Amino acid sequence: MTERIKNMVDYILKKTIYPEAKEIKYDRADYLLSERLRATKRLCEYMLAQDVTIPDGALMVGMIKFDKCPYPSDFMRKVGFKHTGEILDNFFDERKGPFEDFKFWGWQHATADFGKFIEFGVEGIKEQIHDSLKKYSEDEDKVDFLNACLIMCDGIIAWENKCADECYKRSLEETDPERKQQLLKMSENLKRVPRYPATNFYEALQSLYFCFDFLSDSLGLPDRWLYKYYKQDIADGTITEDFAKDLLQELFVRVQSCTPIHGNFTKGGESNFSLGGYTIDGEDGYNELSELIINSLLELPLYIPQITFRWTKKTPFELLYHIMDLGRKDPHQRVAFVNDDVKIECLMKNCDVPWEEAINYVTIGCNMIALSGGLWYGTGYANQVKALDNTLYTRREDIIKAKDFDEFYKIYEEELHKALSRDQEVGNRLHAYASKDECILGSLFMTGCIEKGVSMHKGGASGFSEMGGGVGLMCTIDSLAIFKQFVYDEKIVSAEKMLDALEANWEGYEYLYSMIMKNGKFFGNDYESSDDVARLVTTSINNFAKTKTDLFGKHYIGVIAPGYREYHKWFGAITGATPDGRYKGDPFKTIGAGQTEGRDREGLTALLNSVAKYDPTRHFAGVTVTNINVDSALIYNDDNFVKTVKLIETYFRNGGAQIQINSVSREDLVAAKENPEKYKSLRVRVSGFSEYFVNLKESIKDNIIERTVQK
Amino acid sequence: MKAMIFDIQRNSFVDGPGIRTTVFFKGCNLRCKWCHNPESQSFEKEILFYKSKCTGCGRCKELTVDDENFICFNDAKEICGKEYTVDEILDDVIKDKAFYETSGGGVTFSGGECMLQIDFLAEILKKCKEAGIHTAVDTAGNVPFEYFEKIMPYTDLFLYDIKSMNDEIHKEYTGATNTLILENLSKLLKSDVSVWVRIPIIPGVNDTEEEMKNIRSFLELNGYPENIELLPYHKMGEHKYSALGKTYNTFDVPNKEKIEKLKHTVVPY
Repeated sequence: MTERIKNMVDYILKKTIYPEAKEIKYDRADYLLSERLRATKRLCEYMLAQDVTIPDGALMVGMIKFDKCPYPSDFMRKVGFKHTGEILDNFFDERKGPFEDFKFWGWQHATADFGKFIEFGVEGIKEQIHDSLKKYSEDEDKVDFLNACLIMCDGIIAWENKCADECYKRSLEETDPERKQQLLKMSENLKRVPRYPATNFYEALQSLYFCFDFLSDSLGLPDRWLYKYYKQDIADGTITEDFAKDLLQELFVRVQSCTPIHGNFTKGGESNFSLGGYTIDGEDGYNELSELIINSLLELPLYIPQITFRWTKKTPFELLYHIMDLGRKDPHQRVAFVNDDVKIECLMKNCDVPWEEAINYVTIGCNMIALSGGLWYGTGYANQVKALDNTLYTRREDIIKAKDFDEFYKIYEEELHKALSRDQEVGNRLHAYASKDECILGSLFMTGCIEKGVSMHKGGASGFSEMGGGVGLMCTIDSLAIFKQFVYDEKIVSAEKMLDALEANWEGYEYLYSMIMKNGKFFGNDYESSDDVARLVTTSINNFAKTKTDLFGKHYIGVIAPGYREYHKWFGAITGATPDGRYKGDPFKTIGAGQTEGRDREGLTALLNSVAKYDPTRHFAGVTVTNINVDSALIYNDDNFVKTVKLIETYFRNGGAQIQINSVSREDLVAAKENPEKYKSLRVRVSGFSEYFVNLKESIKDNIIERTVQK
Repeated sequence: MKAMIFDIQRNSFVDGPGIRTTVFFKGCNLRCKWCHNPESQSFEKEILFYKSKCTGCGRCKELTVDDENFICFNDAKEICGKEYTVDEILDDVIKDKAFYETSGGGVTFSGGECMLQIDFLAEILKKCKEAGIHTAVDTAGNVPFEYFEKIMPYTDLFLYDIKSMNDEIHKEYTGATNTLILENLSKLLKSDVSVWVRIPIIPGVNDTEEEMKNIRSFLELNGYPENIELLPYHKMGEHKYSALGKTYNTFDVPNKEKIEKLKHTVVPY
C-alpha cells in the first residue's frame, strides 16, 4: 500500500471524504413539464449545484451525495427510489415486527452495467437513446421517458465538465510540480470520460469511479470490464502493475467511504461484487486483473467492498487453494464462494437466460443474483413454515384419512401452493407501488430500459423476483421427513398421535420427543429418506414458480439466505410446534441451507452431500447461503487446510451452490457474546457478507454459536 | 458375517492421506495405559454411563446392552458397540467416494484392533477395493503375520504403531511384548506394501531421544516407511474411563517443541 492510499484509509476511518450535499431551489417553470421531465431537470440541477471534492492525493474525482436531492433515495442510496424507500420504512422497521406471515421490505438490488459506460461513453448511450426514439416515435409515453434519459445524459456530461474544470483550476493554484501534473492529468481524463469511450486503464477506472454514485450498489464485474484496457496498457508499457493497484485501491476506499463507517452500516453485503467465472467460450475467466483486484482489496484494512469468487469446473485446484488461503487470512472475512455451473444452470433452466447473458451475472447483497444491468426484486422474507403450520393445525381430518405419505404430502402441497399464491399476490402489489418511481438516472445503467423505452421500476430492466424461499425451509423439510419416518415408514406413532403431540406442545409426549431427537433422520446427514423429502419440497416450489412470472413478466428464483434480521425468531414466534422437535413459538433452528448443532450428526461430508443435492430443479440455486463453522485448528494447519480445500472442491463438483466458512472457535464466540467490548473487531460471515459479530442481533449470535463446529 | 463396530467417522483428516471415513472395530489385545478409546478394548457391547448427566429418573433400571431402542432423555446412558454386515459398512463408506477421489483419500479400518476380526476385515477390504476405494488398515500389529498376508492384496496402506523399542516398557504399559509387533513390521517394510509408521508420544514412557534413536535404527535396518507421524498424547478420552467405571491413568501432555525435536531425531529428512 502506498503512503497516499494509507493516508486515505486513515482519513476515511475517521470521517467521510464525501462532500457535503447542497440543497437547490425550485424553478416554478418546472411545473409546466411532464412529471418525468420535471424530475430529471431537477436532478440535473441538483448535480450541478454540488461542490466538486478532490480528496488529498486523489487521482480520480466524481463523488456526489444525493442526500438533499428533491427525489429521495432508498436507504441503499439509490437515487429516486422514493416509493421503494417508503415500503421499506413501513415493513423493514423491526419495531413493527412481521406483517401476517411476511416481513416485507421491498428490497431492490440493482447491479449497474458500468461496463457499457466505460466502453461506449455517455455519447454512445445517447446514440442508443436516439435509436429507441426513432423506434418508438409514435408512443408518447416512451418518447417522454427517452427524452428524459437524453437530458439526464447531458446532466452527467455537465457534471463531468464541472469536475474537469475544478481539477484544472486546482492545477493552476498548485505549487508542487508533481501534484500539478497529477491534477492536469485528472482534468484531461475527465474531459474524456465517462463522456467518451475510455482508451486506457486509468480512464476506464475513472469512468467507473465517476459513475458509481449514480447507482451505488455493486461494483459489478470489474475484472471483465477493465481487463482489455489493463492487458493493453501492460503490453504497451504505459502502466505498471503497482500503479494499477494504487488506482484500484483508491476506488475501493471510495466505495467503503460511501457507506457510513459508524452506525448500522457495518455489513459488507451492500457492495458485494464478483470475480472469475466462465467466459463466453466456456473457459475459466479468472485473469491477472482478477488477481490484482483481490490482492489490492484484501490489503486494505476495510470491510467494504466484499467479493464473491466464482468457481467453475475449470478452476484449477491451486487457484481455489490460493483464494481460500487469502480468505482464511483475511481478518475482515471478505471472501465468499459460489459455484458458477450451478448459478448459470439456474438462470438458463428456470429463467430462460441465454448463456452469453447468464455468464455475466453478479452476486449482490446477501448473495442475491442479478444480471449485469439487472435488478433483484426482493419482495421480502416470508415464513416458509406457514404452509406446514396450516397443514398440521387446520387439516387434521384430512391428514388422519391419508393412507400414506404421498396422500399426506398432497395435502401439504395444496397449502404450500396457497401460501405461494399469497406470496406472489403481495409481491406484485409491492412492485406496483414501487413502480411509481421514475428512476431515470438509474435506468441509464440498466439493461433493457433504453431498448424498451421503459423505466427500471416499471419492468424495463432485466431482473428476477423472489419466491418460495423465505425463512424456515430447513424446518419444513425436517418436519416432513420426521412425519414420514415416524408415521408412515417406521409406523412408530399414528398421524393422530403425532398431531396430538404437536397440539400439546410435546407435553406428555416426552418419550416421542426424545425418540425424534435421537433417531430422527434429519436433513443434512446424507440420509436418503430426508434428502428425498428435501427434493420433493424444492421441486414442488419450483413446479409452482416456473409456470408463473411477476407483474413485469420476470421469472422467479427461490431464496435461502439468513438475512441479518431475526426472521427465524419472529416467524418462529407465530408458528406452532413442529414435528422436527421444535416447541411452539421457538425460533427456527437453521438459518440458511445447512444444519445446526445436534442435527448434522454424520459430519461435514454428509452435510455437504445433502446440501449439494437437495435442489435438483435449481430453483434455490440463485440464492443459497450455506454457512459452516470449521475448527480453527483445521483452517490454520496447512496439511489440514489442503484437505479442507479439497472438501469444498468436491462439494462444488457435486453441485453445491455456495459456501462460506467461519473459523472462529465456539469459546471465542461465546466470549464475544458476553464481552462485546473485547471482541469489537471480530468479524463473521453471516448472509452472503461478513459483519462484526458484536453488531448482530442476539438470536443470530446464538444461531451462529449453535452451528456444529466441524473438526 | 458381522463385525462389532463402535464408531464410523466420516470426514476424517487424521487417519491417512486425504479425506477419509474411519471404521472403528471394537476389541483389542493390548491394554495401553494411555488409550484414548477405552470403549474400544472389549469385544462386547458396553454401556457408557455419564453420571453427571443422570437425573435419577430410573427408566434405565432394567437396561441391557441389547436394548437397541433404549433412549435416555438426558444422554446419560448410551450403548457402545453395534454389529454391522459387510454391506452395511460399504453403504456408509461409499457415500463419500467423491471426496476420496478429489482428495486422494479413502477408507481406514481402525480400532481397537481391526485385525482381530480378520475374516470380516478381509471381506470388507476386498469389497472396498472392488468399489475403487483406497484402503488403509490402522493396526498395532500384535497378530500372526498370516493375518497380514491375508489382507495385503486388498490393502493400499498400513498405518502401523510403534509404542516402544524397549520390551520392558512395552510390557509394562501395553500388557504385551513387542517381539511379534516388530517382527511383523520388519516383514511389512520389506514387502512392497505402503506403510506409515505412527508413534504415540507419551511423556514419561517413550518421549526420549534414546527411544527415537532406537526406532530410527530399527527403520534404517528394515527399510523406511513412506511416512512417519508422531501422535502427541491427549486427554480427550478421560471422560469415557469413568463412564465405563475404569480408572484413568493420566500423563502429561507433551508440548509442540518437544514433539518437533523428537520428530527431528526419528525422521531422517
